[in-house]
Amino acid sequence: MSVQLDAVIACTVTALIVISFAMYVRVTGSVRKPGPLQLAWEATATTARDLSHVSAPYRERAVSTAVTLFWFILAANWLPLLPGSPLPAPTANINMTIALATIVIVLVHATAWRARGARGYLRHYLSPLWLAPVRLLDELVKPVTLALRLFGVLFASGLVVAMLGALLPPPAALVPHVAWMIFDIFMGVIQAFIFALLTILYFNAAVPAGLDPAEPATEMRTR
Amino acid sequence: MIELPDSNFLLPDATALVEVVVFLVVLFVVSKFVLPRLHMLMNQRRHQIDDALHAAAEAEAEARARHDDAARTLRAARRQARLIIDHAYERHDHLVAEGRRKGREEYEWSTRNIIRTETRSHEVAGDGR
Repeated sequence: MSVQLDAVIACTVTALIVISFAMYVRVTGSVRKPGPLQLAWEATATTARDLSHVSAPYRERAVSTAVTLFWFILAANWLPLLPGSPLPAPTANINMTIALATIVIVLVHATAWRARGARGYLRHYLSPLWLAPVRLLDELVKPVTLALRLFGVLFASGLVVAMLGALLPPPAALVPHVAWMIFDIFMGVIQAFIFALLTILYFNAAVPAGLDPAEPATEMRTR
Repeated sequence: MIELPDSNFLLPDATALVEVVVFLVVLFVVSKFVLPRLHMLMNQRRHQIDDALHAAAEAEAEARARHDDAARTLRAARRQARLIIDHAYERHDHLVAEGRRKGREEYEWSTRNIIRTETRSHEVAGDGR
């Protein structure tokens, strides 16, 4: 099995960017005067927490996974938009999206297994028995759709940029290229949000609030 | 710009495994070091805002009480002023009536004096003739 060095480098650079920004937020975080970056991270965390109706002991895991995914995918989507960046968007490579989707699905099922126990986990997915094949198929399709949606959008975006460069002479290609870059910025946010949102929804379905008998079913969020 | 690899680009390879590790490192850093701190900062800010709202509510209640006090004091002052003015009017009327009475008495006394003096003068003049 081969390793695509440019994809690994792009992925590592993305990781370093996210970690740098995250640590910057951690170090410079302030109660009285939060900066724009801190507010953006706080907004992401609050939105994730509001959307998650996960059982309380596992809520932070769902929230941290969704927040990390959002910023990581956003950085990956915007990586080629950085001025003079020679790196491609890591999310335009199937390996990255497959990796992220696999992590999400493994985390969701591991959390569900831990929360429900082996018997409860199997009962959740296999009952009623006549619907079990459909539910199994659904669970198998989830990571594939999650990965292919992000990959398809980013790959097509890269293709459009390549086609604009190939079909139009440089001066004429400038305007559509800039317009597409603006669209790419917007699309990068949307795709990151969708991936993070679906992650939370998978957690919500696997480990819903009220699963723990000690926890009230109506309690949905901690604010 | 995307360069299509020679192999089927829709099939994952060992790159995915490396990327899984890289993402797990990011997930570890964010969930262990960043989000707890952010959570703490947001909670502190929420408490500060709650405290400030509580203090504002207390200040508003105090301001309302002081406003009521001021209105009560103003009403009492107006009532007292009215009493003083009424008393002043009464005193004024009394003084005017007293002045008139004294004036009339002085007038009558002067008139009587003049008549008496005039009568005496007439009598003296009659005796001389």
